[in-house]
Amino acid sequence: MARVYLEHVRKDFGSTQVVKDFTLEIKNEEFVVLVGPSGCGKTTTLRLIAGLEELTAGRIYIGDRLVNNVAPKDRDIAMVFQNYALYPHMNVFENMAFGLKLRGLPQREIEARVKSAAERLGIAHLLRRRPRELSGGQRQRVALGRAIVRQPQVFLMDEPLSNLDARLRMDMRAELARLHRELKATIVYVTHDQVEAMTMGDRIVVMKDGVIQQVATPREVYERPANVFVAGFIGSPPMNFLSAEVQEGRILSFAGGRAQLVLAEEQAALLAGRKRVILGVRPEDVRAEPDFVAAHADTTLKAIVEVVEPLGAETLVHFRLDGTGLVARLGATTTFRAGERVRLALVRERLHFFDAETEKALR
Amino acid sequence: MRRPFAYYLHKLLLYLAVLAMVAWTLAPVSWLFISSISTHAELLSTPIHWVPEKPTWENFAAMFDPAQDTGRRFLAALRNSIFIAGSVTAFSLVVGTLAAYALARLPFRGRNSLIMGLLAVRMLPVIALVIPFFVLIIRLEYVLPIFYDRWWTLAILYNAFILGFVVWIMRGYFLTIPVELEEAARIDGCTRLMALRLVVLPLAAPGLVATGILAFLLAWDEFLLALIFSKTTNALTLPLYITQLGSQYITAYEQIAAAGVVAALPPVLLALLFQRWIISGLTAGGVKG
Repeated sequence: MARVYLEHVRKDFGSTQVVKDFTLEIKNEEFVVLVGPSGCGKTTTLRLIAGLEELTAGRIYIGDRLVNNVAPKDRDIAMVFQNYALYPHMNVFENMAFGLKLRGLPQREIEARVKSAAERLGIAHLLRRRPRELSGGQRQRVALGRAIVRQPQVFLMDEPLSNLDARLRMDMRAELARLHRELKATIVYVTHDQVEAMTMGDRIVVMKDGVIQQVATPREVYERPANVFVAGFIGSPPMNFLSAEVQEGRILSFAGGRAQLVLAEEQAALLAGRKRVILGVRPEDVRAEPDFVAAHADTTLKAIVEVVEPLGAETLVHFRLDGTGLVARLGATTTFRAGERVRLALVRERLHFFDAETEKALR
Repeated sequence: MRRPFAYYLHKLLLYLAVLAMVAWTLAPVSWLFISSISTHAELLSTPIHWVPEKPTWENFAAMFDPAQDTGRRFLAALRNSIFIAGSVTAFSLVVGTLAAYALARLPFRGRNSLIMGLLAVRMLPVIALVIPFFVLIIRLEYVLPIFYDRWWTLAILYNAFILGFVVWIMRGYFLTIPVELEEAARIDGCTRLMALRLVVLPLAAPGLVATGILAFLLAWDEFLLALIFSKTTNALTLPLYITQLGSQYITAYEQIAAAGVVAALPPVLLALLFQRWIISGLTAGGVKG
């Protein structure tokens, strides 16, 4: 296994810059997830590491080797594609053995490796089948197996789970995490699914328009998002954003001035000298229990219930707050009904503030 | 009981339609064969003999008898036709497949104009090219007298329009093969050419075979260029040989028919031989979808 280092990497397609000045060090044995909306350049970045696209500028190192001009086959990487890309004219064994044969491994070694990988993935009984005779989940395992037998320096995975149904995706998420642990593999994983990013990554790279927005652990990305985009992209339902005005005496007013809350000392200090900021509130930080609301008069708001979405374990409630909306994640026992006027309180120490112009987090 | 009746009526009509189509297709071929084993006298007798009373293989024997003039000419024509169609098929498949792959996969300047250019050439009727071709070949003949009335000249000329056809069809076929398969192969250890050979071509085999048979047929059946560019048995082809049977003092229908049967055999054999390759759905299951 090896580290991967991307240094000021740029990729243009014609006059469009798809990846801009991308610098990132992926550590040995690290599971790094590139996440972002479609068109953010995450797949292109992965293909640059694979050598399937040529760099416009910058350098890529795998291990200590500069691989800018190294063919994909000589980069010692394995890739799992979104659509699996199994060779239809070969059976499962041949699919998995293909790369090993090309590298001239002895037949016994090939058989041993394929067998061990197939057993690890629970597909040992399918080795004689053709890809078209397999289910989606089985194909996915074969694609993984084909990568594993190669014992590459780095695994590259391009949305490998996005074609599976929800249940299977959950199982495979856990399985991939287990494989990562067992193989001690360096994995670069691309997804647009923030749940996959949060659950599997050692570190998450959030991208937008070819630019890295934030590189951090899942927890940090969630707790301390670098800007409005990251805050809105990670987390479901997304963070609420309210345009707010900083006023005298630690008061922050929003929703057209009709809602106000009192900031803590250090929050007021952080916002000192500013007039307008963007206030960010996670849905779980909007509380409606009467006890809590009564105890937090400083951050209490009045709102109207618009939509109630019971999800079983929890209930999402959409409130209207004088011209803006606010989504809250409340307990399963919530009895709110649409049209009801209620009092809410925000968890003050968990509020996020962003610059109104640059949308960067204020800390 | 109404539904079964409608059902059987439907079946009956369907089979009648199929029967009509089969008869429509096979009748001329059957008549060709019947003519080929008839004597000249019986073939022209009235009332018509649907089944010859004295079937004979004479017409075939004459064609394969090198002692006779007919036999010599026929054998030369058969040889030339096989050489021409064979070499055109081989050349256009090898070169055309590589070109088609490049046009399907590799980004380069002028690619689209090249693709449209190939199509445009296909649109041109061959007769429009006959005079330029003729001038070209005669000029070359002055420099080096190995072009006029030679079978390889016909092979070269046929490639001029068959190659474009092969490129166009194979490019279309390559475009249906998911590019990720090649990318996976290239990561697994292939160069581009190896990926083409080990992954793309096996998957394109049905297309390759169908295109090869069509290319063979186009070259095998070609008449106009053969007519212009051959004078002797050096470049005589089967279609030309058959027409010349009719241009003598008498029209030897039974010999024309026999030659027709023999001329139809190689393409039919090729199609039968390769038909198991012409199956679709071979790529199913490799990728999602």
